[in-house]
Amino acid sequence: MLKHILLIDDEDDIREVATISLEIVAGWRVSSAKSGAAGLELAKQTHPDAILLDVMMPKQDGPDTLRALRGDEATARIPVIFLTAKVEVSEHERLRTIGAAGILAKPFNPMTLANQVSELLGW
Amino acid sequence: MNSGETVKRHLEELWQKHLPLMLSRLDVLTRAIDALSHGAIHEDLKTRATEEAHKLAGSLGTFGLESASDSALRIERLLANRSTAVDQTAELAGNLRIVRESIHSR
Repeated sequence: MLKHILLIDDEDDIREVATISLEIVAGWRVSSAKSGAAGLELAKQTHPDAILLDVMMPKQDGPDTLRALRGDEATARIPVIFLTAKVEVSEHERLRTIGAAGILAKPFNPMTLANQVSELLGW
Repeated sequence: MNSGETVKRHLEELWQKHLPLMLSRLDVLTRAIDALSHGAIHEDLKTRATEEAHKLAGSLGTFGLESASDSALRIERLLANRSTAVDQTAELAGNLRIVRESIHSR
């Protein structure tokens, strides 16, 4: 079945590279938003199969966005994978405790990103 | 054309599209490290340079510049340290050189 991924990241280059990667390599449909607030709205409207969520964003960061997703019945069960350039183990543990389905490091390899997402989600 | 070649072609297009952004981030790092080497950096510039280093660390490797990404991460960590001292500017400058040369030679 064709998967639909919502990508939330404030950086245009990361959004565009990840979109190309997931669309071309995996054949998935990708929507994207450049802020947590816009991503929340898009998630409510489109009910994606999974969300890739940047951790560090201005105003509403990744953890706050995840909490908002979990607090809304329409989006509460959508698996969320964090994208982060932070490599500290303590940071990864913190992100897992707030309900992330997985954590992927930035930079990512565009050729293997889809496989990493599939493995984390058991697809 | 297989998917790998198609992705590479799109990556080249995106690199050219976002190169001005990479260079502007590099410029912020250059100004910050230059100011640090003169012992007078404004906290706003240091904060902004830390953020730009973080963004470079996250994106350069995605475009195949892994060592530059590692250097940007090192710069981010050094700048994020509140006590970043003048004696660390040589390490900062060395990492900045790797980032700059990688961007310009890609």
